[in-house]
Amino acid sequence: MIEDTRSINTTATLLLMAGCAFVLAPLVFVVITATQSYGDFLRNNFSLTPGSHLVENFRQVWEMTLLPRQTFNSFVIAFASAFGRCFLAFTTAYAVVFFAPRYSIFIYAAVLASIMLPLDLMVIPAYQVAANVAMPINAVANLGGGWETLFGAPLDLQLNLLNTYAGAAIPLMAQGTGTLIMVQYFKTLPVDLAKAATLDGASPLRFMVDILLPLSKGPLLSLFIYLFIGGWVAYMWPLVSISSPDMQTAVVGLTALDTGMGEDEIPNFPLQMAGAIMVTVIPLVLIALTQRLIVRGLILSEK
Amino acid sequence: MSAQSHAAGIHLTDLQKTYNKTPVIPGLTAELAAGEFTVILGPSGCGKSTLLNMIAGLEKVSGGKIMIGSREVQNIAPKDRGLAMVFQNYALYPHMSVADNIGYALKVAGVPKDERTSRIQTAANVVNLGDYLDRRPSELSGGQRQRVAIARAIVREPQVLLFDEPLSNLDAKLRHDMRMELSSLHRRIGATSVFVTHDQVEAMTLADRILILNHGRIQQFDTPHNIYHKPANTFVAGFIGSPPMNLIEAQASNGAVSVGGVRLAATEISGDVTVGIRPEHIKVTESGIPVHVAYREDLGSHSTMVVEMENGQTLRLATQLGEPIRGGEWVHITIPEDKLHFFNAATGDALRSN
Ligand SMILES: Nc1ncnc2c1ncn2[C@@H]1O[C@H](COP(=O)(O)OP(=O)(O)OP(=O)(O)O)[C@@H](O)[C@H]1O
Ligand SMILES: [Mg+2]
Repeated sequence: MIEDTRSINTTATLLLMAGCAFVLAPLVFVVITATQSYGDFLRNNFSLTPGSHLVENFRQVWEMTLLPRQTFNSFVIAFASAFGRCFLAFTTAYAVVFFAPRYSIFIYAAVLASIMLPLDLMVIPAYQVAANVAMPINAVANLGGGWETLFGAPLDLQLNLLNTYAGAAIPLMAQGTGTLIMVQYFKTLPVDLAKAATLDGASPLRFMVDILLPLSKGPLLSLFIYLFIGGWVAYMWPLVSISSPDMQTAVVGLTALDTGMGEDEIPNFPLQMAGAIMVTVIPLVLIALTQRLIVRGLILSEK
Repeated sequence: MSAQSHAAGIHLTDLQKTYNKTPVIPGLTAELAAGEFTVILGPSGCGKSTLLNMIAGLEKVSGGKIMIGSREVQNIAPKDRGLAMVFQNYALYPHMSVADNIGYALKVAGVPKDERTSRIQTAANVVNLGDYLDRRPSELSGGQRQRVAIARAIVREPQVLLFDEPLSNLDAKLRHDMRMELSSLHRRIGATSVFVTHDQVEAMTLADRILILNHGRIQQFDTPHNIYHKPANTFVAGFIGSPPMNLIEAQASNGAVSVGGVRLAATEISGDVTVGIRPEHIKVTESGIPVHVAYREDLGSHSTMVVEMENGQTLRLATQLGEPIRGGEWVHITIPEDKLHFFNAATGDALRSN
């Protein structure tokens, strides 16, 4: 190692540069295309010479398409689903670790099931439930005609969540990776902390809010960012559960961005690329802003 | 924080704890006087922490009664039992300042801010941490952290103070200093204190009375002096003292007790008996029982040896430094008759202690 650091350094640098080039090439392509006008693009096809229409393209995306509205939708849905998942992860892990109930094993089973059966696999039943949230209640009440014999008609409650933020966000919450992560984190905390708080007179809820929550800031924030991005790029479920374009998320909206009029028409690729940049920028900004906190969270949880 | 007049005694009546049908504490009855400093001493896993946690209310009791003062508390919430606890790994809240750590209980109890501040300051001064109130626990040394934990315990002016091996994480010198501080703190505060440890030096130096526990049963509950000089059974005899007491299987007949043909003492009992003699009571003399020095350790203030009698019986003994004895030599020892302890060979209970 030590004899030949310089050549190792050089090799490593070269390898890293090659890797960067490989990863960045498509991005460069996206940015360059976004600078061209539709006219130029039709004339020259894809080219590597930057054009001068970047701002114009952004303006067009901003003013003429639904993408700004859809970006806002994405933000709401990603935020709500990430927040919900963090909340569930935190509270579930708290119950499992600090109260060790007898039924912990069932919670673990449910968490595992939610990881092994992702939403994409259950799109159709999830769609049916979202179309009428009361459906399971109806089904149970009408079991063997029970409700009908009691009240004369089958129970038929209706609550449609399709095309709503709730309908898009809530099913995205039903995934338990965060719970496992928080369980692992809580297990690294000293057990006597809870005992000390109990003797100090703190109720379990108070312990959770006063002690556990501040101590979990780091891991929770990392988890939140990770899940936020997951919600931001979710494609299948928003596509299925939202049909009206102005409720749609940005990632889905992107695919519908000026794809050309007729069968043979060439899509407005520069406009699409400008849109793609806009949609990517928000999670990037989020990461950039919170990067320090995330790193600190990771270090804290190592302790 | 002057001496508190409201220290309360603790009465344990047939206290039991069972984990998944395994009795950890099969039934324990003891009376801890108000203001007394009791040390619970015993080997690892004997149920010391379990006992303490039951008194604190952190573990449910499986049976029996706990009285603090005149109140029966086994079904009362921990915070209402009028006690506070200090833990081995400090259990400070890492995200709070020293002041907030000390004052958390007061905050939860809804004590007004002004009063809180002054009580925090007083408690911090008691443990000499008055200047550290704004620090985080991570910015303190181990000893300082444990002092914060002690301040956190005394700020509520509890009737009972519980300690679960609070000094085990400190190095030897700090442990000694903290021992002295705890001792003087106890004299000033006067709260009934229960201190769990498996370190017999801590037990001997701190305790008014030591409760020796093994397998969840009380072996002896007495003053350090009596524990050392009048061990109630072979367990206590072998547990206290460093190096521990020699316990020898011997036979008593015709008015004398002897081991492998060597007469040790006159006695009126007969039959099998376990004889105990402390290593520091065995003297190396000009004449007496010839022994072979198998092993010798120099500890500065004294030295310890393992010696072997002609009949193969080994003994540990401690001598003053300066005895010019080397490993492998033959020397003579004398075992003073009045220092012998006699135990029932079958049950291990003390028969007679001189
Ligand atoms: N939650 C539990 N479930 C089952 N068994 C337990 C539990 N807690 C303690 N025990 C058992 O009870 C016994 C006593 O435990 P305890 O913690 O009181 O020992 P200790 O005397 O404090 O030991 P140490 O000196 O190592 O702290 C041990 O055998 C332990 O295995
Ligand atoms: Mg213990």
